[in-house]
Amino acid sequence: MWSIIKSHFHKGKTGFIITGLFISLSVIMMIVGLSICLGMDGLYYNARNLSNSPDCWISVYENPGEEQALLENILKERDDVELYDVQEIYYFETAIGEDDNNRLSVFNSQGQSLIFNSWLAMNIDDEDNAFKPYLRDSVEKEGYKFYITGNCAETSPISVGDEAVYVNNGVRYEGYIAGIYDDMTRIYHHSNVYVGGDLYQEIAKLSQTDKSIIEEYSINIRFNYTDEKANTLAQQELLGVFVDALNDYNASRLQEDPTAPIVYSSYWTREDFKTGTRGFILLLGTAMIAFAIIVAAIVAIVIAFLVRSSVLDEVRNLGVWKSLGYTTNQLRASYLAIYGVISGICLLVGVVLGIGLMPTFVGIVTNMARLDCSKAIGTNVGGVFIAIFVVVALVSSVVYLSTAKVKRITPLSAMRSNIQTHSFKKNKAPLDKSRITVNAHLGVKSVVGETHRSVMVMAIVLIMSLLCSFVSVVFYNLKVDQSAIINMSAIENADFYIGFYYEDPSPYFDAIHEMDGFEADVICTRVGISIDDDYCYGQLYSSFDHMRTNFLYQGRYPKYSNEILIEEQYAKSEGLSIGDSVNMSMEVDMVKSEKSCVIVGYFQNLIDNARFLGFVDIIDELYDLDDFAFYSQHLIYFENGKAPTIDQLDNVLREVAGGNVQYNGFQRGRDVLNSSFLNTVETAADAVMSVFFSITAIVIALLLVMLIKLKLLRERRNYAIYKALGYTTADVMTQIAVAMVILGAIGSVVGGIVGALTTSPMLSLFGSFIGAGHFSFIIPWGYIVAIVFAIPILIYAVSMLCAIPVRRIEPALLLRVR
Amino acid sequence: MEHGNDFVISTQGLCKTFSVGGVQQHVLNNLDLQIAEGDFTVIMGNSGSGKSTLLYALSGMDRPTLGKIIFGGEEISEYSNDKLAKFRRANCGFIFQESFLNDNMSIMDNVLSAGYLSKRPRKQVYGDACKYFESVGISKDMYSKFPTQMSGGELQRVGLVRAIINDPKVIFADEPTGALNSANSTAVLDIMNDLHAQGKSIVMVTHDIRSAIRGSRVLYLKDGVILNEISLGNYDPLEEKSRLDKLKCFLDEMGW
Repeated sequence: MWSIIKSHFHKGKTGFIITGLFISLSVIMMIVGLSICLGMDGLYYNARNLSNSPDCWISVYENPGEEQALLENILKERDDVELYDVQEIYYFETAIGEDDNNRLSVFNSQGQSLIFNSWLAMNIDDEDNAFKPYLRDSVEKEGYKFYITGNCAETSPISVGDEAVYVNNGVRYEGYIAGIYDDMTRIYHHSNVYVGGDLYQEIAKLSQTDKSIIEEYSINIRFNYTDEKANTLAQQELLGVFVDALNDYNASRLQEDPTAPIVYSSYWTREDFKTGTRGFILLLGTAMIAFAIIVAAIVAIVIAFLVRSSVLDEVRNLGVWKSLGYTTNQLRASYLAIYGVISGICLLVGVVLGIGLMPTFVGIVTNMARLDCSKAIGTNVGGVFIAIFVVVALVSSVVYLSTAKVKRITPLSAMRSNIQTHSFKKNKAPLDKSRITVNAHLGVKSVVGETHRSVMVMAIVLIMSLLCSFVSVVFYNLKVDQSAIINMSAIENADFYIGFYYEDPSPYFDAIHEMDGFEADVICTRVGISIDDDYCYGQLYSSFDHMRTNFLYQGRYPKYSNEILIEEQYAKSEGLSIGDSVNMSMEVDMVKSEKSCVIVGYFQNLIDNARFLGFVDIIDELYDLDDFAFYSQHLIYFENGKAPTIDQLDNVLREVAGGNVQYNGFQRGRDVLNSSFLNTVETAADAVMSVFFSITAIVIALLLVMLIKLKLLRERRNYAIYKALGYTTADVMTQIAVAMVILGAIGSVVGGIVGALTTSPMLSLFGSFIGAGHFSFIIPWGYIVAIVFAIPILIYAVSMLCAIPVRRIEPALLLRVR
Repeated sequence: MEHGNDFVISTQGLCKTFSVGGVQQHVLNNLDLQIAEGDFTVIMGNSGSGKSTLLYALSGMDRPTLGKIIFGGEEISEYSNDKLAKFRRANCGFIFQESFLNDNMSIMDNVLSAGYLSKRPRKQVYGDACKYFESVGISKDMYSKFPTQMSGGELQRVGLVRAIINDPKVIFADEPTGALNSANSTAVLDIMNDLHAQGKSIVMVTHDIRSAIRGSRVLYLKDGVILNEISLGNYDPLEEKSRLDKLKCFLDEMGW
């Protein structure tokens, strides 16, 4: 039996090494992918602790102070609140009509400036702050210190040390970005700025006289649930209790004194961070698991090929062993032993590398989450065991099945060298019918003559080109033409998002309307409205006629104010469908207003941005609010190719203002999309594209090295005959390369096309779990054609390189063969 | 056919040394030889005398360690591997002890894979293959058979057709009957004699006296040098007995 092991090992050294590499690769990917997917909840829980973030916070303003005790009492009575603190914070409204007042400006090294017109200052040196933020980067310099969120720093881009200036009534408080912090509840809100204690004290003093600096307080809360789902439910439940308590408080005060100021509040939880990142991180993890499975499938194909080839080569020895009394199971066990040892070693290598490479992949996750998660996610032990189980089960079953032929080998067949008394072999692709060169034809004959090998090569190339095609479609739609993914985001892609801090902003909008190429001005706002008593966010527009993001995937756009579009996943969970009527309700000025609306269509929501879309007058009372216009943004559209730059638009508005403009948000639509999800998506696209393409190239190259080395070993005699007959080294190399290229071309054409056509259905299948079940990605046929051509070219080049040892096969070898 | 005056192959000081386990083995020692065009030369000798090594060197399958080989007026000993390959396809035909056919191709494809290397039109090559197959007794219905489906005698006849498909200047045969029974050996040797009668030069290595008497000239090789040679004249079946006696006598003298 040892001779079988020895001979198999001798003939298949390269095959073993490459199989081993594939096993290790599959194990690495599986461990990392499973660790990411299984560790998602742990990721958020650990990231909360590492970044010292609260689970949620509430900011209260227009406060007389009494309600603080009310809210604190609620917290004190709860067993699930692990920690909370109350922080004094200051909110800045850039004073209308006073240039630059209260504005915070940051200037980056590229000469760009980021303006915070309305922002919130927190004291980083507050000793009572239980949630001091985690600083991912910091620097010490002269001047006042400002600390911004990592997300803000990356999207702007701003680095530590960049100049920052706060201006109040002409007094400049000059300083620098002293740190970039991570706080999961504040990461998506640029306006949350920590300042040094000295500046904070200055601001506190200023607030005594400057009414545009509003003193508020925030209550930051952390729960003691280790289970992420329980934690999320607790956040929602507590915020509901807070809302009810404040409503009751306001109602009782208004009853006593109708002119009493209403206490307003705002809430933030980690959910924004989770919903903004979870889908894409899961996608990366799932992609890695999918890739691990694909590589495992390749391992199975390669092992099946190697074992079958070995059994055929060893017919004589196996027959002799049987004649000596060895059973089929004993002989099959020898093959299991070989692959058991190889798999064991490579499993170990894979596990070690998987654990070792985890930080690198976590780095990618970090970039996607825009939060330093490097210690928040680690190797999942369950994932390691799953990977080991999958590989062991796969290898043993494939080896066992591939050695089935051993059963049919008898001592007699061994003596006949497996020559059958009856053969039904057909002469495929006869040379006398050939119209191509003899070398090409011999390559074709090799393809049709060695069906097992051909099927294996074709299957692997098909899988890899399918994957390349899939990845390139994804890459194209995530990076090059993002219209399809934007359509799924429920975020409108207008030229500009703009708002003004003016009681009457109409002169500014009039100026915009007069600009060359102006197309439309659409009011837009995000509101929380209850649908059949289920509170959720929605996006309201004054018109759907100018939309550049095609939200709709089924039904039609609303035409009347009582019509809405609803997010598909939400509709499913609530049992709603097109044509259903729902009761939309919200409290406006403490009065509950309601309206019955009809669902006229579905939209998708990849990033959980909104549950419904409707008209701004969906609730009349809401639209009639004095400050509705103040809190709304306008989507500004210009004709195709005529959109001005942000500076050009700013200059036009400056002329109206006669100086600096008091913007209440001023961003290019593209920037809104970038900061919402496109930056994350692009990072994912880059990572997926580079990793998958290089691995595909490596897998194909390794496969060819293995096959051609094996072929050269097994076909030495035939190549020596060819050479004796007058074939040159180049002729034989060409025959080998042609055979591989034919298989590669068939595999890549089929794989490329199937991959391109199935990308959207596949993504829809996975996406349906995260609320995006209708991908209709654009197929970049140019990319597909490039892949279809590139893979055979790669195969040709690698085949020719691998076939170089043919020159060492000399016809005199026949002497030695004899 | 008697010795012609034109030598198709000649060697000068031919040496071939193998290194086996660090030990030098001089298989051919300063060997001078001329083979005339149209001759049927038989090389005999004991095992390890260098017969096959000489055949492979003469045919350009292997390169000598020292010395010259002039084939058809060209010195081939310094040719590169590729040039030697092109030289072989144009000038040499080979018949081996084992047929050395490619088991994955039909017998017709085995022949055509050699024939299509020539510049002749493919139809003509195919026609020649059919003609030669017929002449060696292989019928059309066998063309698509694979080597593993044929007997040893049939395989050797296929090998013969492959050897002559490109109309080579010289046919080299290395123990062509070594693996055949008596009837198949006779059939193969008859074909070779027919080819010789048609003017083909043949160089054959054998240790079988019944095969050797088919040649017109027999060389005896010992320790890498030609010890002696005997001319038998062209083969005539009626003279088989006398040729056998003559050769036996010669071989006895050589200590065979």
